[in-house]
Amino acid sequence: MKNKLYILLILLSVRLAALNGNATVSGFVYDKEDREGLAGATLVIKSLSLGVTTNANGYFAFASVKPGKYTLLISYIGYKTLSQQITVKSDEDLTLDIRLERMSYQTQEVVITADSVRLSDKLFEAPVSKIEMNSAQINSIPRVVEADLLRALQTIPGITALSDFSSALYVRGGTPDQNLFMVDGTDVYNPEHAFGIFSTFNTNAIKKVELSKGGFGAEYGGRLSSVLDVTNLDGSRTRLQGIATLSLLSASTTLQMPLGSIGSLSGSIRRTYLDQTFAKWNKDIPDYYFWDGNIKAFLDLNEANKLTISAFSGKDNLDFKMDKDKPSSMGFMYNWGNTTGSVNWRHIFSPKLFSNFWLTYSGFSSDFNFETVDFKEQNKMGDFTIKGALEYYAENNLNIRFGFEQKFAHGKLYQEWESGLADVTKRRYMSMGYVSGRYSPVPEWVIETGLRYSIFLSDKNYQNFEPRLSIKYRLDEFSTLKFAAGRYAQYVARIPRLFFASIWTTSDEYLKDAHSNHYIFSFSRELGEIYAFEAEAYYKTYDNLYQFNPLVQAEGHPSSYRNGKPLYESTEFLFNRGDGKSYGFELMLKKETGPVTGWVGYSLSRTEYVFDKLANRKTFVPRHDRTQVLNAVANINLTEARAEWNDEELDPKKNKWIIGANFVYSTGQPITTPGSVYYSNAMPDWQIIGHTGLVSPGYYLYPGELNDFRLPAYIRLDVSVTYEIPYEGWSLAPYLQVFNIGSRKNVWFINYESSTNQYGINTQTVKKINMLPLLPSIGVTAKF
Amino acid sequence: MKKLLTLLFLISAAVSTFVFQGCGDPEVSLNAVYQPKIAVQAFVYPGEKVKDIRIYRNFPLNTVTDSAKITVKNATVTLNGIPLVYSEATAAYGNNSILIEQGKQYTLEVSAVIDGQALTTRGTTTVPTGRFVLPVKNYGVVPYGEQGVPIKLIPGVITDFYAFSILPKVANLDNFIYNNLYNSRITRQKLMEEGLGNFIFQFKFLKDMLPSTTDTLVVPIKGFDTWFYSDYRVIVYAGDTNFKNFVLTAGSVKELDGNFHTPLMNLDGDGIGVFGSAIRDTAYFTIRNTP
Repeated sequence: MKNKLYILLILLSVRLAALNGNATVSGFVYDKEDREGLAGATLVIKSLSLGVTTNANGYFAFASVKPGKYTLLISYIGYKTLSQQITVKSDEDLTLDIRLERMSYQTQEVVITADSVRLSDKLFEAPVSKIEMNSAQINSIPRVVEADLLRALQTIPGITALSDFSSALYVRGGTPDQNLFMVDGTDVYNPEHAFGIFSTFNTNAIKKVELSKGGFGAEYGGRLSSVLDVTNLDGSRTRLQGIATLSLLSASTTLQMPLGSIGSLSGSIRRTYLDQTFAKWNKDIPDYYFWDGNIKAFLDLNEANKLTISAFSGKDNLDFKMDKDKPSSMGFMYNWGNTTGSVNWRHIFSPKLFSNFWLTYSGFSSDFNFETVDFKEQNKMGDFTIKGALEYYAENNLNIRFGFEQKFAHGKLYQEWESGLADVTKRRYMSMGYVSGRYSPVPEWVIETGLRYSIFLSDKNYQNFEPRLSIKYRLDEFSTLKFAAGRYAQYVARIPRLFFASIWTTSDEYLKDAHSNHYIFSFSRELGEIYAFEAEAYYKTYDNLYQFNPLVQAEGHPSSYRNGKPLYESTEFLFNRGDGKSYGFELMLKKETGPVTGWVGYSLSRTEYVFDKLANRKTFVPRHDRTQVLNAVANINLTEARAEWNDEELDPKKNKWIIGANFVYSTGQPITTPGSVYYSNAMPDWQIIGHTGLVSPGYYLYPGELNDFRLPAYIRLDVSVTYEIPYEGWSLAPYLQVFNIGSRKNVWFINYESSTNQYGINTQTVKKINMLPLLPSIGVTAKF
Repeated sequence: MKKLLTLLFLISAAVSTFVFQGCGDPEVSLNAVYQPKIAVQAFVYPGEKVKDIRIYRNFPLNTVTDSAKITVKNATVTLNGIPLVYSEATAAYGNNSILIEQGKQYTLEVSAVIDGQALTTRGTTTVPTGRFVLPVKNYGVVPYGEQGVPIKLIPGVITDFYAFSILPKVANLDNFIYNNLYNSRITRQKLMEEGLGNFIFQFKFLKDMLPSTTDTLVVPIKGFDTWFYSDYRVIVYAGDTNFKNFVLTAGSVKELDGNFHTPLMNLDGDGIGVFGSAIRDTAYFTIRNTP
């Protein structure tokens, strides 16, 4: 019924447009310097009270504009607002090619004039719970040695980290497997390097990152909690550009260049060199390195057709030996990595109908060989996907989006050990379609509804209808109220493994599809013309959460036997099933222009689980629950601040000092403590109490209530100093980063040590295992 | 300008606060609620009398414990309703009049007062049936090396779990294999500091074996199972489910990320530990430096 209504509205609007002589004004908004399409730019025809934003490709369309002369205002953060006169003629569509100029420092502070698009307009346009970041913002946040996208996102309220050693994102109580990672339209599995410490995203190659923390539209799905959509640089259309970074851990470079007059090419590569430096000098450091690289070609075939071909590959290699001097030493080899590729065809059927079609491949593989104990593992998974997303600008106040996706997924896990093997090979098919409409009956109201349908074919089939709703209401000139709700389904689950790549599995006979409902209220307000204030409250429910069952070794049974060895082929005993909910409240104050930029965020939240086989079905909080989190991120361009102080005009060629700071406070993580210690042994014949012969250590810990103890609060301050030296189109920026400058000993977990002396006196000691201490690092970034 | 000054002042103030907050070494005061428990380690074997039924108690964390005081000597212990008697010599409970039979179900009940609280627990085991064969009982002298000792086993017990307890007869700093295959950085000094326990007590297991198989299985005892030049004994257990669950879960309640989970145990009420049964046999070998 709803679909019929949409079709009727579309037909009606087309008919009306044809009758009144109105025309469509459409086009792309580009960066003037490199002709990258700018996603999220705001375009306003003030005299008609019409406003639109560019889509992910920089495309926009005013569906129906009366003939006449207008002033079109185009604005985008970090760029000069452009005021352009346009003339719309009767029944003659107008196509624009708009190029925005990047701001120089002295004009960064926004001065509100009649020609500006206000911050409050941008806040109104932004979808609920959506965060955008670009490469510069990610790189400006002080970090652990290496700039990292996921760690940068951990500074946003509502997103927490489990520890200093993990770049995984826990979004509003959701677990990392509930986040959908996409690079140029391609899903990415296990986007982690270095045992999860860093992510696979090379920040210098990123054009834009969009993170939806919840309540996302019908075009996204397949995960319960969030969507991280990364768009890499298309490449400069005007000249050769590059950036190179050298840090203590790695070297990387990104190059962009025009491909004649028809397109552009960009590529980046990064490699760590721990194996060639520290590991050679210190025998305790394992031989480890990773590399990754991506290449992207953009072909501007004509006004209506654009083609993008991109590929990414990355690999981690670890050769661990307990004793490097001994060839037969206990040790293992482990390598893992992702490979993705995509072809994206952008086609403009008409100014009102914009489309994107993708053909993608995403694959992850890992290979683990622990020869000493006769254990080896191969883990592979991947998918081929065909998908399309179309956007129809029916009327100025009505957009229709629809799309489809067909996924052919395959996965394989093979493990072999002395007395058994696991061999799981799966092929799965998922089909999905969606339609959504964005309707604005009056400028103060925007209503977006959508419906997503997906069917998942495995040894047991699942299907889901997922309705979505978003409502925005402009309270006054400065303030906006928003509401979003939706139902989300997920057909994959993950076995997280500390320091090892996660193993993914999909819904089947034993693993049901998971669901989540989101309800989000949001209030945003422009303060003092340059500060954006946002407050959001959310409530999420989860059905069919799956956590790895740590007792699987005892509880699991083989499905058959191969060569007399037990063969494990199903997920039957692998997971514990449960339900849960998360609720919370977030505040954020953000400033994106001027000599001082950054944000302060605060979140108050709680996540509760009930699992069938845990804690006697009593409610418990998971380890990633953090009651309160305070984040503060600041970047101060001292040179610019000084110029402003002295009311001077800043010379863009002048060297610049930039200071960065990142502070985080969070409630300590909940853990399960051992409630007591008792004497026992694995084998009945091992003596516990000293009589004669050999006496074993003989003590076991018996756990207390599940996650009922909170570790001390986590507090950390990072700072960075960058000295930027511009020189004739080049710039060189050496930097110093200090992670955890206070060297606070944040507790990672508690260790319990027990020792028994020769008289049988046992002493148990509770010992804190801390996270990273003060960690300075230096590096240099060169741009041209 | 005024705005900028205000902002810079606020940031300075915030950074100062953050630096102050971001220092230090936070205390962890564990408030884990200690609950007294009866800790049971009890196994019965078919064809054998009931002995070595060990009844201990648990202790709060971070305490100093005298292992001589961990045994609960005045507990009321019964097996299928027949009382077991405490022996000072073995620090365990037993009863010579009970002969364990294959396939029979046994219930252990324990009552004790610990820390002033009256506690009770109860567990049941069904003794496995059948028999397994170790075709070679003594493998003689085996030179230390990568080839290890291939223990042969012909299964025949109705169980899916075999455990191999590997124990040297003599283990001390003098007969430790310093020139081992795996790690040359284990020194005498290090062993003196850290003890030998992690090297002495070794075990392996076979799980989910095809119950009907009677093919000879070879279980290699490798170099990382034997760290001393010594005579060794390998006790092979064909255990019941309680035995399996305890061996596989009780000692690995700590996860890699430091958190804990509850193990599988078959004791109701206030008990922790295990009451299980197994069929057992023993093989021997000697590890020498040279053949």
